[in-house]
Parts: sequence; C-alpha cells; structure tokens
Amino acid sequence: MSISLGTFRFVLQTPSAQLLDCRAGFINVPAHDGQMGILRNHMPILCKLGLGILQVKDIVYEKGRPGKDKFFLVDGGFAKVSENNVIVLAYNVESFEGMEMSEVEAIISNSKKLLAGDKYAQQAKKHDIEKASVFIQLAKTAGLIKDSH
Amino acid sequence: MAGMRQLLQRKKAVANICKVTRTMEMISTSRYKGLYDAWNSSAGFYNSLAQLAYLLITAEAPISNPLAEENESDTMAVIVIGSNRGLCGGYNNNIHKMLEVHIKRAKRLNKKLDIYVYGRKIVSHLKYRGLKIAKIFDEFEEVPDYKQAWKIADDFTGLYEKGKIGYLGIVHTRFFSVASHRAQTLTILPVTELIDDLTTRATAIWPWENSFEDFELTPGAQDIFDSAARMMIRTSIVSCFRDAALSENLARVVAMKSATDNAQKMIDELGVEYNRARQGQITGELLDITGGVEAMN
Repeated sequence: MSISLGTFRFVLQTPSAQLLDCRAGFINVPAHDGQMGILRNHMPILCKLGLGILQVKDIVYEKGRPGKDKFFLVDGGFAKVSENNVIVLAYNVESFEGMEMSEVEAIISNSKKLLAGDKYAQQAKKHDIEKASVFIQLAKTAGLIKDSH
Repeated sequence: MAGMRQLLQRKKAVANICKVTRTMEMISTSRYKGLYDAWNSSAGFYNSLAQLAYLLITAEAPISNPLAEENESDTMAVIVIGSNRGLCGGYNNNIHKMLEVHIKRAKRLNKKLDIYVYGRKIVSHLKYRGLKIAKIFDEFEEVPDYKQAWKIADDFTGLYEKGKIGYLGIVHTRFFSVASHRAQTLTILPVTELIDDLTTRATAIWPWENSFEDFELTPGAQDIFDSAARMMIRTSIVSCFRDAALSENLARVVAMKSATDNAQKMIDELGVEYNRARQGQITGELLDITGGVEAMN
C-alpha cells in the first residue's frame, strides 16, 4: 500500500556516476544515527550518512512511467533535502540490481563467511564485517533471500 | 640520391613505425573514451558537492575547522601527477614547469618542500635533477579506487592536523574540455582554497535556494563541515588523478595522430622517390637496349 503524499525529485550521485534521477514518493536514507524517512514537503535538512540501506519507493520516471522500488547499500556521504529536491551524495553505492543470481549468492556467501570469522579477524575488519551484515540485510529487503536463509 | 634498395628499406621501416603509432593512437583513444565517460558522469556529483560547499561557506556564523585554518608548519607538500609512459607530446614538460614554480616558491618562503610523485617519467626527471622524493605512488594504475584515494587523503589530512605540513597542492593536468587541458595546481589544504575552486568551477549553483540557516543539521554544523571537507578532499584527489589520466591519453592521441600522419606522408614521399628511381632505372635499361639494337643495325 502506498503511503505517498505526492512525489519529489530524488538524485543519487557518486564520484563515478549518477545512479538515479527520478521522482519518488518515499525514501529511507541511512543517516549517521539511524534510518531517516523522507516524504514530500520534508523540511530542509543536511544530514551525514552512515553505512546502511537506502530505500527508494513509489518511483515515477519521466512521462509518469512507474518504476520498481530500489534498494542500495550506501557507505557514507550526505543527504540534502531542500524544496522537494533530495540529493544523496555517496562515496560508494552498491546494489544487487542487474546482477546474476550466482553473483548475488557469491556476495552473500562471502558476507556470511566474514560474519562467521574468528574474533581477531572481526576486530581487524570491523567495517567490512558491518558492511557484510548490511549486504545480507539488503538481500532480505530486496526479497532475494528469506529471513531464515 | 639513395638507391632503390635503401629507399625500399626506409619505406618499410617508416611503415612499421606508422603501424606502431596508429596502434598506440587506437589504444589511447579507447582509454580516453572510457575516462571521458567517467569524467562526464561525475560532473553532477561535483556540482552537488559545490552546492554543499557553497552552503557551508555562506553560513552567517563562520564554522571553524582545523582543515580550513592555516598552520605554522615549515613544510609544504605537493603531489605531482605525471605519466608512466612517454610519447605524449609536452604533457610531462608542462608538469615539470609547474613543479618548478613550487620549488622556487618554497625556496622563497624558506620552507621545506616534500614531493610525492605518481608517474615514472616524473620520477626519472626528479632523480636526474637530484631532488628528493618523499613517496612514489605506484600501488595503482592511472586512477586510484575510492579506498586508495581515501587512504591518500586521510594520510595528508592527518599530517595537516598534526601541523607536519602547512600546505598540500596537487600538480596535475586539468581537463576542461576536449579542446582545453593544461597543467595546474589544485590547492587541497587548507580546504578553504579547495572550496573556492569547487564553487567557482561548478556549472550550477543556486544562491537563491535555501540559505544555510534554513537547514536542520544532523549532526551539528562542526561535524557536517568536517565530514564535507573530508569528502571534498577525498573526491578531489580522485578527480585530479582522473583529469590527469584523461589529459595524458588525449595528449597521446594527438601526438600519435600527428606521428601517424607524418609517417604516412613520409611513406608517400618515399613511394614517389622509389617509383621515380625505378622508372629511371627502367628508362636507362630501355635506352641501353635501343642503343644496342641501333648499333647492331
């Protein structure tokens, strides 16, 4: 069920590419202190991003063409909300979109291996471990694996 | 005049050179296209980053940050980006000239200059001149990935915060358009100069949009400024390396195209000379035959 109160412009950019430029009804950004939902007419806000999942819902492309919901793994950056324009500037964005199922499974399997690693390795690769955990969450949110998987 | 045999050998040698230069031109063109696409698609990011920087510097109450303030260090640092291979016209020479400006400047200000280098051609030039190199970046090819760029940026910001360096500039060839690319220094630290550069080169800034005071900030202004400054530094390092690689490949395309054209012209001229010599020999032989026939009659 849509909770959209109208749409706003959403742009997702990284230093290497512009990944998305569309109108959206709702987005959920991984702020530095937790997830933050944004609807139309949100107050102007400048927000630092952390590691987490960016959800873009109720996407409408040019000429009113609706799009599928999108999910991205974002690792740091900024979100700027101003006058129904939301710009997310991120260092690094990853997504399962367009990937073969075998590639997705390989990423999930690697992530699980990292999560199951010994304590020393977990300390040494703290950020990678967190990222692996978010990858698994992303796969669940995108419906690629079940919760019990 | 060279004999027919020599002419033929010379023509073959030039044809081989022509093949090599044409291949190099094609390789550089393909690399250039890939880098140009990346440069083009990153333009939006830098425009948005410039908008963010513009907001931060137009705050009514100035935000203080150690990366934006000058320090008293007696050391300046420059990262010099050159090429690993030659045959790219005056590309490396222009970088040498720009580096010379920094060497003279450091001497005039009575400061030490630490030179960090990418590119074998620059390394050999500095070694020839007997200048000390602080570090050679050789762990990546042309453009660092985001983790490598983070590390470079974080190392230098760490040095700046500790007061071990008082200036960081990147000497590179900046790419403006296909028709324009030239050697320049981008000042990275103090970060105010980088913000100036970002905001002046941006193609889209809307000062009539909301002002800094209209925004809710999370976390606070100091943290936002610090994180934004680090983002600008990290991404500008990638952008400098990409500009340099783009300009190098473009310079090589131009140099190799000109070399191929010249070689082709030389092949044509040698072909004409060879044909003339061949025709002269045939005519001489014919004259000998007709002369012999007439003598027999």
